[in-house]
Amino acid sequence: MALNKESDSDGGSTIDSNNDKGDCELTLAEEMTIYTISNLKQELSKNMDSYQTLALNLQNVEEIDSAGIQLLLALDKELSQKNKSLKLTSMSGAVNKLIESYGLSDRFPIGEAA
Amino acid sequence: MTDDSLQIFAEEAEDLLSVAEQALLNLDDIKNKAEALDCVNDLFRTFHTIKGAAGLFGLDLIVNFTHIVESVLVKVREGTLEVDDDMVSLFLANRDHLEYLVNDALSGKTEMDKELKQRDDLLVSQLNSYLGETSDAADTDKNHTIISSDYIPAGGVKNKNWHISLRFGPDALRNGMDPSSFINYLSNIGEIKTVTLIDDALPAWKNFDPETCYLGFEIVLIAPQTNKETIEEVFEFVQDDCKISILPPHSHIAEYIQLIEQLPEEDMRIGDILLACGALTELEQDDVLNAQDRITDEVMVGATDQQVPLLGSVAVDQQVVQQEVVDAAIKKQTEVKQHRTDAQQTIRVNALKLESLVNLVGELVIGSANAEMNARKFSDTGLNEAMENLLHLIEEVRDTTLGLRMVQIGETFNRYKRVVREVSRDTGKDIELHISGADTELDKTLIEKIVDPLMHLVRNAIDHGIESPEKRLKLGKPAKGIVHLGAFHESGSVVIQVSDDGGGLNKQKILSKAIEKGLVQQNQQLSDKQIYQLIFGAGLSTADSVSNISGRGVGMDVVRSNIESLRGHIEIETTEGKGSTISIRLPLTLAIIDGFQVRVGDAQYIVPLDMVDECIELNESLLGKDDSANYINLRGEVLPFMHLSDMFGEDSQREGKHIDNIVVVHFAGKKAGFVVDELLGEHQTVIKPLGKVFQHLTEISGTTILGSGEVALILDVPEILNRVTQIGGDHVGDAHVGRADVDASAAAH
Repeated sequence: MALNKESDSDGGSTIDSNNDKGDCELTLAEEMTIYTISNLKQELSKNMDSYQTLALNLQNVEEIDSAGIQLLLALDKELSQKNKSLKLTSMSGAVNKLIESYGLSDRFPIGEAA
Repeated sequence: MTDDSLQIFAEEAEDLLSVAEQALLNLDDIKNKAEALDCVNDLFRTFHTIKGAAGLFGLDLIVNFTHIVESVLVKVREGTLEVDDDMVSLFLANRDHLEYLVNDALSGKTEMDKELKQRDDLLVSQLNSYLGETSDAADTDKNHTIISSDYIPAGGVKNKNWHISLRFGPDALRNGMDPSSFINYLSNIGEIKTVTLIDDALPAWKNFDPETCYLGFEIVLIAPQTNKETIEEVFEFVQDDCKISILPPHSHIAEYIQLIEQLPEEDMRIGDILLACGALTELEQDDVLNAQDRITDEVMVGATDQQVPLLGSVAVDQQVVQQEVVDAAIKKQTEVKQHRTDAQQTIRVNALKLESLVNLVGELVIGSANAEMNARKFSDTGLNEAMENLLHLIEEVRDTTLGLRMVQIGETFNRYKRVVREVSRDTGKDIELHISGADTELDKTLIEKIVDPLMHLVRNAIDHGIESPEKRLKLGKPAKGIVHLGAFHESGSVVIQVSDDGGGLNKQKILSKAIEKGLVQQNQQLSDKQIYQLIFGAGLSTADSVSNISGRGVGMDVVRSNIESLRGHIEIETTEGKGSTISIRLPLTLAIIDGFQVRVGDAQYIVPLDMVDECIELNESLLGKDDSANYINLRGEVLPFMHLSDMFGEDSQREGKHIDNIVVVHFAGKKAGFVVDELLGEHQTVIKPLGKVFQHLTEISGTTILGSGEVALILDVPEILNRVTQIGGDHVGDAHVGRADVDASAAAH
């Protein structure tokens, strides 16, 4: 799992967090694929109780695969179950393309961070 | 479209048509409903695939025709039509017609000629009569010219698009199978109308393993010109990691019900999804779900009297039944896949290339014999060892090369199922075909050449051999007659047998007929075997009436000469009242054999090694007192023999101290000895056919070139054996007469 380790080391820079009281804004790094997805999940699991709304900025994500999309879906499901919400503030072309091809545009509309 | 791809289509169609034939013939045998349904499904799939492919090539004639065939099949599948004998016959006729259409298409014809058109019309009207009043007349008329995607078969849904259900397995992502790439690839086949992502299986965040795939998809694909296989191929790589259901346009509601039941999500949820993505209309969705409720209700009603836990078990039972159906379907699918991968492992090679390879190997063998001979002169150990090695390798090359042309005979045998079916229908007899030894291998050129003779024998067995059911019952036999086709290897030859459990041959009838036709003299003495062998002579038929199948007396001698032109032999064994067996013995190959080299006088001869039993010295003790006798006592057996030197007029050194050797050969249960001057050992023999001038020689089957460049003759052992045993047989006959005389005189005393 050399790949995991590698992304582990720059895990800190993967996510930029801007912690306000109820909101959390994160900017995800370049890759959201099966290779990095475990670390990403760990990062996203942190402080989950501390915010009400999670805003994700996917502007820098250049590579995304179905594992990435699945993570977004799982996250969305989890948050809405806890009466929290997930918002995507902006997304790169790659992300947009995949979300469209999966017919998920309605589920993940691009909105301003609350 | 290029001719090449059309050619591929034609080949594919040919394969599919033979699958169809197989399915039809199976259908004929099977009374079990579930298996019959399998056959119908096979049938449907083959016709459907042909239709799809023909559509791609714009072959409207084929598309139109298969379409109607399909419509009837759909009804059979639904159970509104019962398969009977006539229907199978009709479908067989359809299959044949389709074969003509495909051939026409291949030769570039776009119009049917008159004869074909007539048959087309006839078949279409017959098919339409099956479709009957249920679909209105105007519609059926229009069927013939309509394009498939606009036509909704009875019970089908309105949706004219493909519906694809995918449930990826947990390891799909880890194995690098990204669903998105498959979905993207689908857009090469057709237009993806909607993709609905199913994430119901996603667990709570805590248990969510991001590397595990929980995703499923419902996809609607607009692809009117494609077929199911093309779509299946897209998912071929992922089939281990994904549950795939593909429903063609206008699938029957029942298929949707099945789909819904198969999917892990709740029925209502799936119903909604199908509705949402346009697979079903609202009305249809109600139908589907109601149908489901009904099933559940029935289960409930059935279980009301019983205790509650039973209800569950009934449901489980139901589930189990369905599981079996599903399993069966999956098994079927993997079999088809398996079959396809088998096919992919074979290469089509131009027969001419193979031919020239075999010829080259022949030359190689001759060349190696020459090299070996020259190498011996040096008596150099190293050289001889290397030569030995080389010869061994050449032998392997030879065997492998000849093996390339070996084909299993089973497929050829299967063709006769159809013949048996049709002839037995024509003659009103009930006949079953048994096949054994289908995996026996035989040179492909041989197989092609025995197809017709075998056909004749099979027809004969049915027409002449097997009695009418009434007569059979009277004779205390089962009404159903059996024709058996078998093949096996026997000492370097392949034996193909056609046997029946019919009446057998009537010896007297053959004899009197033969005398009547002047084939045999009135007072000629013939053994039983010789009499039976007469039926292979020209101008003899024992059938009292000439039917359109056989009885004209031209068949059997043509069969015989065909077999003999392949260096084969034909024989009949028969028991009156019990049936007959016709055995055809063919050499394994036509090109190269292992030979046994012998010297007679100054010339060298080759005896096919497979027929050689043993070699013994011919000494006084074997000969006994009578020096002129042409048989010896071989371990208590009478073994007739002959001097090859007499037969071929060679100068033999029979006088003096020389010891003769006997080569004991056998063929088809007969044994005899050939007396030769010297045994020279094994020789790889490349058979060169005899030139035209020598073709009438019966004792010689060919020639070969020895290492020294000399020519050696290859003995036609079966032919010589016949002659030797005949002479020997006469002697045995004489002896018999002699003993009878003694008995008579003893009685007189």
